Amino acid sequence: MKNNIRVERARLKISQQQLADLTNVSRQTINAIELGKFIPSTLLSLKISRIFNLTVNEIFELENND
Amino acid sequence: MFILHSRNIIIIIKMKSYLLPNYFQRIGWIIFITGFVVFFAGLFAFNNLRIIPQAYSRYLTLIIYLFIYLSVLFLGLSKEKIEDELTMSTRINSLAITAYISFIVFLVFEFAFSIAIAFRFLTTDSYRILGIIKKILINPYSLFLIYIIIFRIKIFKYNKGIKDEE
Repeated sequence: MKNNIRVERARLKISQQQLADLTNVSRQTINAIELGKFIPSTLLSLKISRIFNLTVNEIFELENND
Repeated sequence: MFILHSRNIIIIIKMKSYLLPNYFQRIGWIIFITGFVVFFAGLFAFNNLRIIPQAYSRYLTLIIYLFIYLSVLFLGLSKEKIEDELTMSTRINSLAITAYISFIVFLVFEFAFSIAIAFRFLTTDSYRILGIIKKILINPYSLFLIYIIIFRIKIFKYNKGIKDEE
């Protein structure tokens, strides 16, 4: 699964820590998601998408091998 | 993949209620370290100084053991500072690895024992030592310790990941 959280974060000029605080998770979690090491739950995906004011599909994308 | 993931979340939500508050982790470390210090100081006191009468030493050792066991329980079952889905999935993964390790250790020792008995190439001494190692490795305490070590390594890697970002 791909995601463009890093890009969207840069667009809003917020750090990993700020995004983590806004979604009630640790900075490690946001970092792991950005690196593709961890797949977030539906709940967290929805929270992230709400902060970026986008839909989940616009942030997360399936890859061919998924 | 998706079905499996949603099941994981249900497990995560259920598991969250079993964990102790975060301050138990600090209590756990304090008891763990003092327990070991007292244990080795006690060994020295019992054997060399003979301050404590032999009759009491057995009960004292039991109490120290109890505290060390408790500390491992606290360390393994208390929440992180920020308990979220990453720590929960890390817990599940660590638990799975611990299960594999314990099963492999169990199998190896069972086979080692069977072979030792069948071919009689072990002396009674080494047979006894093997028994002690088996007893140490295959008990809930050691499994918990293995689990804590694996979990801590994984968390450390995630922490290192964010340090590399800076």
